[in-house]
Amino acid sequence: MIKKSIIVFTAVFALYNLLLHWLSPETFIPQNIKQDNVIKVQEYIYSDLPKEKVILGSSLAAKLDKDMLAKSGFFNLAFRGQSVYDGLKIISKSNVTPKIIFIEINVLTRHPSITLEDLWFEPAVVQIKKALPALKERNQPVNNLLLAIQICLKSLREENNNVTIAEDEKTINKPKESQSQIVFENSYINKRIAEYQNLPNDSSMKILIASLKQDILNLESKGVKIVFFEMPMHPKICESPRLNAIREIIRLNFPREKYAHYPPVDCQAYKTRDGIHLASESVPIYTKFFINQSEEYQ
Amino acid sequence: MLFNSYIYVCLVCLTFAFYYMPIFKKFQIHILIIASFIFYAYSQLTLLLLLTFSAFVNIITSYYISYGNRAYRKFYATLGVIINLGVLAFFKYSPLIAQTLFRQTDSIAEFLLSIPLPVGISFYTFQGISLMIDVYRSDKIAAYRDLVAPDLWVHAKKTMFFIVFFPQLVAGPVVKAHDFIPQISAKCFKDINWEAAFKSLIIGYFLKMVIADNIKEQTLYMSFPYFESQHSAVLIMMLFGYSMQIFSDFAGYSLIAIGTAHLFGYKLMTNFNFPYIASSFSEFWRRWHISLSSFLKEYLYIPLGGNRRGEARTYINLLITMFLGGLWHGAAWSYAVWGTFHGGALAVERFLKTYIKLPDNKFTIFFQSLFVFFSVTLFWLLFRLPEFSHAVKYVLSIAKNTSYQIRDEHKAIIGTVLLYSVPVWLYHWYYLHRDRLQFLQKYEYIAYGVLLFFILTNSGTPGEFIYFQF
Repeated sequence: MIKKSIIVFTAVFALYNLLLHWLSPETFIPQNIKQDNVIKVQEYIYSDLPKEKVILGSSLAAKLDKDMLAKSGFFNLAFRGQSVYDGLKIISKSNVTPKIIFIEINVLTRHPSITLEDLWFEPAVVQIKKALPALKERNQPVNNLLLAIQICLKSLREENNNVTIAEDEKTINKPKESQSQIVFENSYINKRIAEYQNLPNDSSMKILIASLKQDILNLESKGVKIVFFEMPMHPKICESPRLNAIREIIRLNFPREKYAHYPPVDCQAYKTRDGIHLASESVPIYTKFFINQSEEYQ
Repeated sequence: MLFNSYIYVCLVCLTFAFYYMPIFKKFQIHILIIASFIFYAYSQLTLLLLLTFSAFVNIITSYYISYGNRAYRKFYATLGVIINLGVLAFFKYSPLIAQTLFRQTDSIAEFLLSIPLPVGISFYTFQGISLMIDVYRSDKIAAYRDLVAPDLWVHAKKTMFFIVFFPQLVAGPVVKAHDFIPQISAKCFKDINWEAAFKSLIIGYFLKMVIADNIKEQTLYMSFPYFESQHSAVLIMMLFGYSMQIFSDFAGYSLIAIGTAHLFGYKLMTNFNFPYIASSFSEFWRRWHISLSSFLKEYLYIPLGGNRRGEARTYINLLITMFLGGLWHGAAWSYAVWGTFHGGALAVERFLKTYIKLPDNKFTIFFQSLFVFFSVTLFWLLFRLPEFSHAVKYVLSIAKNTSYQIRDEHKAIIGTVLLYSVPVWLYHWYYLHRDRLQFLQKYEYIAYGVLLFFILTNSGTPGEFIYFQF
């Protein structure tokens, strides 16, 4: 019984790998935030995607439009729930060095939290994951099932309506929020605004900035260009003491004379969902601006 | 050390290799004890001392119960039980005592809050209690007389092994002395029950790595205050998902422990027997965490009088047993409330059964099972949200968030929870219809092959077993 089970497993595993090689799905649907982050790490280490222009940051920068960035040759290594420092760790451990790195400054107060296994970066493991795509997180059977369901539903909807549903129409026609939900979300935004009135912890920031400086020095020694940018947030958070303090720390440690910086962000021009993350209608607008502005530094 | 980590697999493989080498045949128990120490010390090196201390207390007191002055047998047994309970109370319930009896700024409260919680303490202290009581009862139960070897060194070895055996050390099954110690003997490679080990390990790892570890990323949003912004349907689905998660996590762990024990020639008791098909609360407790419920029944409920002292006393005994059983799960009053809910449900069920006879047909059983499942699922909220006020807010949010927007990410939560619940329901459904589906047994290797495929390709990000916190 055990032998037969192992034979069945081997057959199913081989078939699935062959299917993945044949189909080579470009898109994927992560099941959750953690998996999305792991997929990003694996894509960075194991895929042949272009990695000359890399974005590092938190869930704020992770919101940038994936397709628009991919068309322009960006690799978004911003992790939801994590920070710039996690992305820097990945880059330093891997053999892939970008030409230019865009660093989000909004959440520089968050310490790194990713646990990296040295095994992930071993050349043999890299080759195995490339040869056996079934072992990559993005190719989990459930991810591909969700992708297949999404494609089927989309084509069924388009068949029924006889039109292709444009992305902006989807945004305009989405169900409206109820009054009680609006009240709740406003109170949530107010809590966030209140949080941002607190200055960052001095000693903690010293440690983080020292580590950032060291990482940047190492990258610059390999010929990498560094550009700092800021994601739009709620106007009141944009003008908050915490964000002003972070800007000042960046100005002192990474002056504009020596480092490239995006121009100050106009927070009034964008909408956020919860005070800090861009709303879906503002994502393509800011992503377009981000890509256009990046041309100046390349 | 997690069961689904490379280091654990290496430990098991190395231990297995040495264990069955002919030159080490006389040292099999020593090898398992050393492996168990490594297993425990990996996560809590300093608290290995406590584990060893606990084992020594059990060795000495149980030896004295058997071979000491007979006039003091009860005294030694009582002392052994009190020390075990004392260790458990001190290390596990200090924070609860601090929060209940003292202000947080009091120095005694600060001290009590700083006491670390040793992993597995609820399990190995209970095993020590089982040993004390079984040895004490050996004058009335002949089968228990061999639990304590006359040679102190042999007894010390066997008891140490019984307490620290790594598959069940940190999250059970709770092993009783009279079930385990008689099994201790030299084991041969040819006697390994490979099929039983393979099946337990595959189903165990599937439930833990594929089901529990994936669902947990969706039930993350059950935390306060995130749940306050979710639609009622999402809240209900997450609660349902948590019910699947806790079963898969715990049953998975138990099966991995059972499968690993098989590799070394030891049989641990079945800990979960398809609990979500139960059509009554008493049946649920005969199917869920069987090792704990049978322990509580044998060492607490029956000594309290069980159902032998009249109806009113039976209900009180049920409430006490389940209250303490709930509190065993964690140092928070919400666990005691959870236990009391179950005790109350058992008592009410018992009372109603005396006066109401429901028709015994498929529909009645089906609706009863649904009722038990929904009640148990609702009670699990106290596990997920030990802060009682948060649990109340969650229920209130279900009632009032009916007009909230369901965003795409919420639909993803609902879809993913439903998808990962399917195998759990299939598992229960197959068990219910196993007589009619016997013809499928010859194809079960296909199922195990596919499960192994999903373990390798569809595991969630590793997380600790939920019951590690107990």
